[in-house]
Amino acid sequence: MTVSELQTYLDKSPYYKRYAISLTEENGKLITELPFSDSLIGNPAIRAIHGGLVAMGLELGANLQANLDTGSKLTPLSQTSSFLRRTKDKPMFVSAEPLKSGRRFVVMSAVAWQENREKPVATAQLTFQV
Amino acid sequence: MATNQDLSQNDNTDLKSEIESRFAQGMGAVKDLGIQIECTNGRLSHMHLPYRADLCVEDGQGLCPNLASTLLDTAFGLDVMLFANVKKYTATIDYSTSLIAKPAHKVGLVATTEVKGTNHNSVIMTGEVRELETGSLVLTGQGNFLFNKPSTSSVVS
Repeated sequence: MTVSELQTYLDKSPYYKRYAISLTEENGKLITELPFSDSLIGNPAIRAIHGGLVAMGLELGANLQANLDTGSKLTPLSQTSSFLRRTKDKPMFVSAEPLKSGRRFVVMSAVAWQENREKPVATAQLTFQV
Repeated sequence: MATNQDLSQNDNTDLKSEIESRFAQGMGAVKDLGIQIECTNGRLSHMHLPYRADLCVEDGQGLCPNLASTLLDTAFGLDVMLFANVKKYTATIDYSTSLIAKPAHKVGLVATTEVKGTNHNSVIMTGEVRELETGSLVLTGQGNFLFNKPSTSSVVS
């Protein structure tokens, strides 16, 4: 699939379209943007994004990048997420790269950041079944 | 160092009711997704997410598998707050999930959690998500969660 096809897929998805996720390509790598909205809030005191939705962004970014790389539809098997910094009421971006791309499994590493790419808010390692 | 027993003995019903209420009302994500909370004796009994067509990845499919992970993280967060009797929201340090099966069409999800132990100001949790109507296992997970240590003003021993 191409980036525009993936974007169309997200825009048509009943679940993903609620978050108005947008995709861009930067030097051959997919950047998944999750715009901030009140429906993402996990901690209202500091208006931080819900950890589960940060993990969702990481999984989606990795899944779409793997889809772009392999051309195959992938099923998530496992995910380990580490939360490095508290999130703010700002957009979140995710990029991912393959650690191992096999015939049956793909292992991806994903990173999420907000205002500064050098200061990631979360990382994840994910395994997908091809 | 706080132990499971020390913390769980902090039985303050008013504070726990307030935590439950703040959690349900204050979190935009919880309200938006329609996550429902069931507590028994001041602890999280289970948390469930009824089926809604607008929470599916594609029409005619089950709920987005990501929602199982989001539901479990939410359940972990509330259970840590209730367990530790703290008003402040907890922070997820890390958590791991394994997807066993995608949710079937037109079924909701239910998450249950268990405190495995506590270490200084973090709590180690395990949990699972099952289909609400059939009981089929969807996802298992575990994680570490940070909480602000109870102070005399926030805990009645």
